[in-house]
Amino acid sequence: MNFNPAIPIYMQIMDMIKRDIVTGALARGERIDSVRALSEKFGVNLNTMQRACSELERQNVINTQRGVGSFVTEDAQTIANLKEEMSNGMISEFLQGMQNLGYNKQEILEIIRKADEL
Amino acid sequence: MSNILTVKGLTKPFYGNPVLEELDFSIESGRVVGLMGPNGAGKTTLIKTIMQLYRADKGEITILGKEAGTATKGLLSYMPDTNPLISWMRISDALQYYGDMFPDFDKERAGELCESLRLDTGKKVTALSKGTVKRVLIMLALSRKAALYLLDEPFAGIDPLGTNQIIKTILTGVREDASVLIATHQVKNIETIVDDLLFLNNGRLVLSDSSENVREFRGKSVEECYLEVFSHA
Amino acid sequence: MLKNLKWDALDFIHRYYLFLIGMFASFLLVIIPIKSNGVLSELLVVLSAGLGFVVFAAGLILAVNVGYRWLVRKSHLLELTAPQPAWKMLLSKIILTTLINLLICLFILQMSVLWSNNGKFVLLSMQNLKGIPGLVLLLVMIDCTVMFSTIAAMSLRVLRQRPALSTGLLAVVLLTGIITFCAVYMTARGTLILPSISGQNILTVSGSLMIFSTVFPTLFALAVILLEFLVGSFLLTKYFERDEM
Repeated sequence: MNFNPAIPIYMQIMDMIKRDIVTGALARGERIDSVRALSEKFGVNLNTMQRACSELERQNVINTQRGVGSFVTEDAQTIANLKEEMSNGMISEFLQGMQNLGYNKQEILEIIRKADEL
Repeated sequence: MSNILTVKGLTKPFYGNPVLEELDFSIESGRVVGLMGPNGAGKTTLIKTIMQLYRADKGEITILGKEAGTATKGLLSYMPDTNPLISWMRISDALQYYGDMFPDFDKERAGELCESLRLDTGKKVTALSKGTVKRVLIMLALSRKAALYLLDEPFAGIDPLGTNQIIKTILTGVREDASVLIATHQVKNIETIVDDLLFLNNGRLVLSDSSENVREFRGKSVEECYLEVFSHA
Repeated sequence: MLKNLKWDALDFIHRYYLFLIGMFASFLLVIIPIKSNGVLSELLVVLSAGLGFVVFAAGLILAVNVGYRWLVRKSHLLELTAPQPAWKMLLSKIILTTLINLLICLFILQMSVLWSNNGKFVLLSMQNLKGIPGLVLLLVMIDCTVMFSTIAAMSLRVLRQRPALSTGLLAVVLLTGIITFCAVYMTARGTLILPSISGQNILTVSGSLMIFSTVFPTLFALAVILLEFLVGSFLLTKYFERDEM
């Protein structure tokens, strides 16, 4: 797994998992692997994986039931919020990038419309 | 979270030049620690002093709360950066030797590691390439059920495939509450697996922090941080 | 400790099997019965004797090596990081060197008897064996002193910087001191009997290798070995360090 070494790895893992949940690769309520198995899959050490999972737990993206396992949240609203959060993030990045290139808001809208027609 | 290793005020001069100077740090349980620094910084000296192969002039070393002594040697598993294997032995002999000398040596685990590291136990140690010797030493060190593993340059002279295998072994083969100290020049190799950093320069600790903190608060990768710290040193 | 002994013995055999083969060869050469008692038979005895003495000398050196090499080789990184007390390691080396010295003393004495009988197989008698314990004790004391000197030379900071020189000097000083002390003490007590090894005595069936002719040197040698063992163990545990810089 390739990570950007200059950004906290646990955050990158969290983003990957969130993306999987939003796209449906990880279904609502689906059981996720143990922390150990995940750390092996992602190629990171246990502590990093544990931190990512704890944070996801804290944000209610995943729920852990003692003795049973960890599951993706059942709550559709949470997932919708995630989707919105991620798309907002992408959009502000895009807008920032385009503005850095020198485009103003009108021009950006025009470009998007044109791209859509293709 | 208890401390597996605590080092206080460790000082060791060599021929009058301080090789280790007033070192203070701890390693908590369940952490992977990267010990990094340029050649001659004192990495090997520090590890050997923890292993009691070298003696400090000042300071104390505590392992799981006990002062370093004969009993605590059993809690540490050491992989030296030179080849200590006895010349007439085959790998299978070395396995037997380790089994006799170290009560916590896990023969089954050693067998698994020999397979995953592609080691032929029938071979004589003198017939092994440098890289293969390292893989044997890693296999021996990680087959022990220790509290702290001290690996001195585990990646030197190993191809990318071997490096991957070794990283995988470090990540999966160690008990959750055990810790690993890796002394290495190959900062890139351990970028994503190391929890805590110890940067050593001229026997002094110039940085002691977690890798995620470095990323979050300094906005740098471990490698970038290393370059920054040591280009100013 | 038995495990230490097992591996030390295995190590010795693997490294120095030529020496063991030499002993066996020397024995064969003199024992092979030659029908004609002629030049060939004499030649074989001479060859056997030549080989035998070389092997004996080699054995003496190898016995000293047992106490010294393990601290100098890279394998000390394994041996010294194992969770075992220092006394076990030292005791194993002392026992091994005793066995080797015993072996070569028995060998040279038995071979001497065979050589002087032109190959006729005559076993050693109890009379012959009387001097062996004393000789072995002397040799073991020398080997222990070398081992102790090695440990001491690498335990004291001042000496560590020139380990080879320090070891040599220490060994010579200690041995000279021990022998001088012993000689002076026995002279004062009037019990000094110089070892009498006449060529005649060794090579006949009735001869023996008597070195220690009184009780005092025996006890003294044992005391020296014990002292070196105890102090050596202490130094190895707390102060020993091999400078690799």
